[in-house]
Amino acid sequence: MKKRSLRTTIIISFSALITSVILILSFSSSYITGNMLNDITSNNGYQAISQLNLIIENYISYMDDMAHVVLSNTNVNRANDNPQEFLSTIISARRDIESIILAYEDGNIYTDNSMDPINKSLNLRKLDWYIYAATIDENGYISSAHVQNIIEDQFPWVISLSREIVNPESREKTGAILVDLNYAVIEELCKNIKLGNKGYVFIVNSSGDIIYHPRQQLIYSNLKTEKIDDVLKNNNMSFKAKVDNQDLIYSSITSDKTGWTIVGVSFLDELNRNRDRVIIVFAFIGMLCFIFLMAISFILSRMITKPIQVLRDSMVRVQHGDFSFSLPALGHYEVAELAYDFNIAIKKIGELIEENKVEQELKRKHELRALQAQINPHFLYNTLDSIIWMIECEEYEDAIDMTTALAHFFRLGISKGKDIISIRSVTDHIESYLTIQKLRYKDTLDYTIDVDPELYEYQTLKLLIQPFVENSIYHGIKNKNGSGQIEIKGYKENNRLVFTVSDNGVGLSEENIKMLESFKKPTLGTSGIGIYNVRQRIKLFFGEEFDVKYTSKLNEGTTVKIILPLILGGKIW
Amino acid sequence: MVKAVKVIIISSIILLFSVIIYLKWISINIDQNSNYKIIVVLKSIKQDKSSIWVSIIDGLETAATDFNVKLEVMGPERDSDIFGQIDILESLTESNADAIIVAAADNKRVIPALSRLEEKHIPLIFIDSFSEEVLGQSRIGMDNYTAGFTAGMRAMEHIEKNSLVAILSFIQGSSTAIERENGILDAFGGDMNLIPTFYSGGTIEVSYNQTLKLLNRIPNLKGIITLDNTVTTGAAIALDEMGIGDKVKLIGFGNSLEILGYIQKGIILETIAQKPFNVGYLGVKTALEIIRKGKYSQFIDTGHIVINKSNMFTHENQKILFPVQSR
Repeated sequence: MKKRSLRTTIIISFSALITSVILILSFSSSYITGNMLNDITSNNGYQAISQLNLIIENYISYMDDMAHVVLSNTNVNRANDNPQEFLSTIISARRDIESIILAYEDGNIYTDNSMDPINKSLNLRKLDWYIYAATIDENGYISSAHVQNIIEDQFPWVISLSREIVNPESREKTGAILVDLNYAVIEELCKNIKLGNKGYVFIVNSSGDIIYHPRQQLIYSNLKTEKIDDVLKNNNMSFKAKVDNQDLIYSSITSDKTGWTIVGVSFLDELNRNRDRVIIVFAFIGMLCFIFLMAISFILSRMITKPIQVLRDSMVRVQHGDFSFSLPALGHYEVAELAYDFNIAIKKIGELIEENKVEQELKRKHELRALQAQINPHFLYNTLDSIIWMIECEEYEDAIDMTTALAHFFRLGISKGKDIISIRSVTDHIESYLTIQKLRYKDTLDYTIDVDPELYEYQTLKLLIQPFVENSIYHGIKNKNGSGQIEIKGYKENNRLVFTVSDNGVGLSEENIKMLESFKKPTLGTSGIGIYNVRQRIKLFFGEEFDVKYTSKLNEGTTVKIILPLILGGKIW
Repeated sequence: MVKAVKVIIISSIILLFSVIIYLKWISINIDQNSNYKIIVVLKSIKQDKSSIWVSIIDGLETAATDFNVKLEVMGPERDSDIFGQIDILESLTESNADAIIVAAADNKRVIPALSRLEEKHIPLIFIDSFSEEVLGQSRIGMDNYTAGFTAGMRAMEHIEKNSLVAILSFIQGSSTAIERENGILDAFGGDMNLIPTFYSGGTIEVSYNQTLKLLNRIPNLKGIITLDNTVTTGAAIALDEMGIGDKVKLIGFGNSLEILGYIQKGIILETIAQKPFNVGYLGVKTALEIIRKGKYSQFIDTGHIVINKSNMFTHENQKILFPVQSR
């Protein structure tokens, strides 16, 4: 799987974090606030119905007071007196009292208005308010809402309160007093209570009869149902119910005085509307926060990853071998530290690589030194053979000379382990070599050495010239009939040190010259290897501009020109 | 990296949009004020406090609050101002009403104006009084035939078989009158001796006079069935004046307070009453169903009740019969 970038990871985790935090926060706060709002609303509803209950109780108390006032008037107890005037005086103060009626056992009925014709078909003893009229000691009997039909052709809706009229002497019931409250007053009060747009208030008495209900007719026509039984069961408690496909909240309060239960009905969807408003607000805020925080996370991730990106790009440069730069101060503390450390690291690495290169070169040089050492034994065996042979032939003079030259040769060759020797030593070394060879080849070899003494103090690598001399003898002269002539010259030319080794040997074909100058490594063990090594040493130690040049004519001889730098004392490298 | 960021951006945008859509949905739910407008054209707006129209309007308004409908009630000054209603109906062709509820003042003359409304594809709902032709989408009110049938059955119960009975109607050719009469006749099934039907023309005076004449001419008349409010009232007044309420059994239609007063006095034996609140309530409810779902029922029977002296003050009937009058 492809690994995600740091920035992506940061953005993904930030967005997950932001989203979950915002979701949790807005959900919980809108939930809590919504519920709080619902509580407040239902509390307000409850207060409204409590208020309504108080007002209704006041009305009932007032009606009762009225009844008491009438009853305390002594005239009332005597059925033969007409109390009509008294009644109309009392009622004139209040418009909300529909009527006050005195009804007696003997069938006499008095109202507050003498003009009102009494309904003759009325049977008192069949009317609830008359039958259940309360005694003086108890609470007044309160009817449910009903149409009052005592007065002919008038059908006002009233709520009635009734009390017994008792003969003070006999203590017998002689009649009842009825105080009618205009029902419209109650209706108005109930209608004015707003429980949301659709919510409403209704009133039932203790037996479940509806006192007031705005949809009473719908209930009677079965077009609407109301949870009256549940309300009476869950007295003074709020509960939820589903009625006619609507979720309703019922809260009720029951009055001790009237026995009525006032019920507030709220619609849950209306209540939830407040909560929904809260949700909108919270969602809006949450969305703003989301956008804001996402923008921040983008910027932040960029701030974090940009310097890291720069570091990474630098690392790629390093991978390609570029150590030649250093980073500017980057980003924040940690990353800046990192960049600083990075700079130190690449500097160190650069240095180490440089050191490594030098070491590698040294190794090569040591290898070469070992090769140099390889050259010597062959020559040594041959020379020692010659010495033995000379001694056997009793040519002691020559043997002594040769041995001396050999000793000299090796002393100079080894030169106390030093690689650098003076041109004087080089010259001496070649001379000892040629002395040995002259003794071996006698008249077939002649040589001259002409090195400018000015050059004696200059220095160079040892064993540079000798292999060419050796080559001239073994490849030039040895294969030639007659005597060979070797001429060695050393001089300064164009501020360079030049040695030439010339012979009058068989010479080289142009192909051979080309092959030699092409500087190809010859196969191991062939004769070219010594020359190849020399040339390599020259180039390694002095540089590419120093080299070996051949000029040759077939059967006439070869001249090798060795061009070296002019080095006076000190180290070469 | 780029791909992942793209995914994040796209999903954020999707999230944003879904939130916006969700909020739109909620706010639609919240903002229900911009709701349907229903215009009600009554026979007249100035109604007697005792009439059934108080209850009908109460039903209309109650339904309007229940269903969140904007209600506009209009009508001429008086019931008899048929042209006033026609003018109003004609002006409504340019209205923005989603539905119009009509109580037709006249069953024939309003038809041209109503046809124009129907051409505009405004749903029409008739309450209480209908036009002759079956115009409009729905009619809501008492089923006149079954109500007539009930009246006939009640008469059969109170009056001996094969007695002389008179039917007093209001307007000849009125569909309401014909349906009610047919119901009565079907209930009788030929078991009553019927005097040819009288037509009052819709005024109390005429029916009062007709009743007086009838009672004078046919002394052995056992029963009168009156087919609407006006006729019932006129006949009751006549019977009351002559003091023969108990001899001649009067069974009528209508539930005005005047009629109820005569029931209490024993002049009118029984009356077939409507449920006016329900008529108004169902009018709005039906209109809404038509607006929302496009479905309509040809006729909704709001039912009828038989009212007599013994049941007129029961809990249920009180509320139907007597409107609450504020002082």
